[in-house]
Amino acid sequence: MEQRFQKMFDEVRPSRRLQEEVMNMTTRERKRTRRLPKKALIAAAILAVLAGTAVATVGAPGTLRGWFAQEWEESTGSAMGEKQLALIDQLTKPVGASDTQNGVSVTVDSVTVGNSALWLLLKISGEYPAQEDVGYNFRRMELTIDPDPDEVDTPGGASLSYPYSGVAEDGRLTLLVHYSMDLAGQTSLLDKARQVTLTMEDLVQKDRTKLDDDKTLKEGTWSITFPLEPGDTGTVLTLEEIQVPARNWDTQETTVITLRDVQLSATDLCFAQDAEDQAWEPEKCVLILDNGNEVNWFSGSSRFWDEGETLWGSVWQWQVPVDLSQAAALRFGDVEIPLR
Amino acid sequence: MLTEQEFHRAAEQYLSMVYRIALNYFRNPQDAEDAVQETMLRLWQAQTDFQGDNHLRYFLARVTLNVCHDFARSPWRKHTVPLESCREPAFSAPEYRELYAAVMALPAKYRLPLYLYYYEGYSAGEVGELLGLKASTVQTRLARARGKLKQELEED
Repeated sequence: MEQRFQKMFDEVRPSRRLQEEVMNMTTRERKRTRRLPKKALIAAAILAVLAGTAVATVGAPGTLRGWFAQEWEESTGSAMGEKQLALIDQLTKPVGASDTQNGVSVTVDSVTVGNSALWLLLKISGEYPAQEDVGYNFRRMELTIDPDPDEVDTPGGASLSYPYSGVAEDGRLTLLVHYSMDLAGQTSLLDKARQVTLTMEDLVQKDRTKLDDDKTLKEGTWSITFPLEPGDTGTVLTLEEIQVPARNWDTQETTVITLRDVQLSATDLCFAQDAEDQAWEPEKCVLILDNGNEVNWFSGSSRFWDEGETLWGSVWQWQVPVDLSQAAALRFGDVEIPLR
Repeated sequence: MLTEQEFHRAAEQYLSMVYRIALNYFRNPQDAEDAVQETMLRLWQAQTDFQGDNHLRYFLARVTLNVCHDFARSPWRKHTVPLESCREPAFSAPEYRELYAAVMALPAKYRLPLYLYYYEGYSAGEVGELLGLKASTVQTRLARARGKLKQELEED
């Protein structure tokens, strides 16, 4: 039994895609923890004391617009153009709703809303012990949307991630929250008025370099509700059917599969494939713009789009919202699909 | 902090272990992959001065479990994923597929000690340290896991 157990687990391996993503981490992830020069750090520390906030990693822009512009520049090597900035402005709304518990105020400064994703910029201020070189977060965070945009009764998911936490350029403790939800290509966060409620428990210090548990700085439960207004994500492109290269990551075999109901929006790409093709994952997709810039996908998820489980659908989110009036082609693996 | 070369070597050597621990935790490849990414990111950002391969391997096992705990209690997993919808790896023989299904049908409290003890070769004491359990509890769980597996496989 023991030997069989070992041989069985020998055959359980991470996919090549995951291996590639991990290997590429070294070129992507340390950029986010850049530090200010010592002089600027002192200035930031003074600001933090004055504002009653804490010092952590320093340097991210203090606005969603600035954040996306920085991400764009880091990934494409060129500055974000006016049309892209205009789209970010269109999708980003000021919020300004806050809650104060035990002397700590949490404010939802602004939100960028896409079809299936939200980026929330939180500003935190108050009195708690400050320490350099650590991150801050909440022990637990939950985001609910009412009415629930997920209208499909098949297993699917929503996720929260935190692309940045630290003292931003504006000297304020800032937390960038990314929320995405797989809506099975059937609804959008922008299709009707909704209420978002963000609940956070216990402000904690997170030292990612150590195994210690998070240190609680302030206990409490902060709850902030704000409206999401209906809107649109600008240009939407649809492709009825496309043939793309796909890979079975378990067997490493490749083939060509058909994707149906392909829909590109400013924030994501969604498509369906036959349930029997579920094991075949389309090769990595890149959006190519008129000027040659390429936008990668950032995260994604898949689920059955119908209760009869005949369609297996996926939603892949772009790294930053994209103005699709400038989109020239999609590229899956080495197959380029013109969009005009 | 690891150099890029050291990180790549660590990933080549231990990525499968990290993935299998996360898969044993969640049963669901998608959640496991998310946990792997976070674990490897923590390794890349770690300031730890590793004292050899065993230290690094133990660090990764421990961080993987911490990350899985974090993910499990966060809103990441809005819906519970039913067992039958979890995609299985492709196996070279049907007996491995059956065994995998039987292992994944065990509760997590049995799957993890089983994997860490029988595959990674950690002692009951080390498994206990990793999972926050007494060595005697680990031994009890291992015995029960073996019993349940045997029963499950015989029934099939």
